[in-house]
Amino acid sequence: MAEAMFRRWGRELTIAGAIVLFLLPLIGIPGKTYLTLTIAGLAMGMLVFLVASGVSIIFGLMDVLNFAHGALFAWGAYVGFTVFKHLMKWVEADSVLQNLAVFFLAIVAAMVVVALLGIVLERVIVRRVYGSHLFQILITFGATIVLVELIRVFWGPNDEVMTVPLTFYGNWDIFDIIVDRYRVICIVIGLIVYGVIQLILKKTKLGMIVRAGVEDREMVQAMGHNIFLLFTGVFAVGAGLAALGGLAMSIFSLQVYPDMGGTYLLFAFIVVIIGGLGSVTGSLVGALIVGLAYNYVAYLVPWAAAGVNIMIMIIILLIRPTGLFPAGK
Amino acid sequence: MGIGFVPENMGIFAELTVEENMRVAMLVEDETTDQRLERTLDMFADLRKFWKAKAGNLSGGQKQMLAIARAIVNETSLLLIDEPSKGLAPILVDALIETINQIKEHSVVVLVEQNFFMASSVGDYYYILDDGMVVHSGLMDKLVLDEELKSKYLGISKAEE
Repeated sequence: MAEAMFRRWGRELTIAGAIVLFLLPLIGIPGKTYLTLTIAGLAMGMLVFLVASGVSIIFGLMDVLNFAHGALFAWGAYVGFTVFKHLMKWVEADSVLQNLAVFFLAIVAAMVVVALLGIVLERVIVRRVYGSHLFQILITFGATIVLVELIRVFWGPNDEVMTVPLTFYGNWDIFDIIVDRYRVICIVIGLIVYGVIQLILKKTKLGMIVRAGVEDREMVQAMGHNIFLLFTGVFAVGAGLAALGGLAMSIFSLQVYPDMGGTYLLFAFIVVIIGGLGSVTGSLVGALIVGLAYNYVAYLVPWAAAGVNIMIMIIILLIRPTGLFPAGK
Repeated sequence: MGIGFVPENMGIFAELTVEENMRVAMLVEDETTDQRLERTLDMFADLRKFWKAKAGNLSGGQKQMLAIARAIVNETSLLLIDEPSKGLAPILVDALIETINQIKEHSVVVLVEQNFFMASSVGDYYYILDDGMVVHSGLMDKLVLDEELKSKYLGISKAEE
């Protein structure tokens, strides 16, 4: 009976359940701390979303499991780091305009460089393993090792400090609630990216073709579209998104280090499983759940923080294996 | 390429609207193709009616019409249709026959069908396949009259027609 009920109201129940679960911590956490944790959770969620959305669409459209996404994440951070290093004056200036300008430049540089990297990766490596998940995992894992070592070659093996643009640093005081500025910026970035992706998917012809391809790749090809060009393009966009995530994350945590992609890739896959493969909305919802859960639990029961998201993933796999938003929605 | 294809499972994109299905099918979108779209929709009134509806919500017959409309909206010289009458009510099969007869006027149609009534209503030439090999071919008009061939390969006795 429970199963039938879940099948019919699954998504609504899950959302209601999630809302209840996220209000539950209010019992154990004072109001202000709750708000701080919520914002931290949403910000972290947005960063994971950036990586997860790429993985999700790449899997949804191309049926490719891309384990190199974490390395692309790290590369994005390092390219941004280099931009900041060369334009340090703008980073340290107490001017919103200059800070935004250098941030914007760093984003563009990171996304373009990593998108190009993604194109090379797709054409040279991934294309050869279409159709075999096992080989995709193995080869993209290998690509990760190569990419991470290249970081060491170009930038050195040490952790580097990532400077936060001056006006991004610090807090805002809103009605006596201390809100970390940069976290809000991350949330805004995430929302903008989500908005742009949805706009492209729903309102442009290219988006239509991608959505059709996620549903039935062969039919799209049978209709005469160049599916391989589409694949390369989508892969590049996914890579660019990962780069944005990496850059944003490095400013968040004030550091860059060659292996920084690892943890976030794990989160990204958890998010994609929870949210549903092939769905950008699913990635957003899943990522926010993961981010919030992690932060609340880290405060309440620190040792369980790392495990709570795996728990959520297992629950989803048990009751709704296709994820909250199955392919294409 | 000029080849249109309607697969056995119709291959429509259920999550996309009728409009989006058609637009994905149209490789080029300009004035000429807009006119073609209009003419195609003239043939399938229901598609116009459900233009903004999700393709997955259409009835079986409407989905079939959408699948065919998608295949002919581009300029095709060859149309491949795989068992379009499968699962359709007889009245819809009639509409299908009329549609294909119209399409025949400017495209070559290769139709795979098990429904002899349908096949004989639209076909000019026939090819009977057994175990993957063509065992008989010729003019459809002749096949319709050939009782022996029909009962041997198609399992149709005089009483059934």
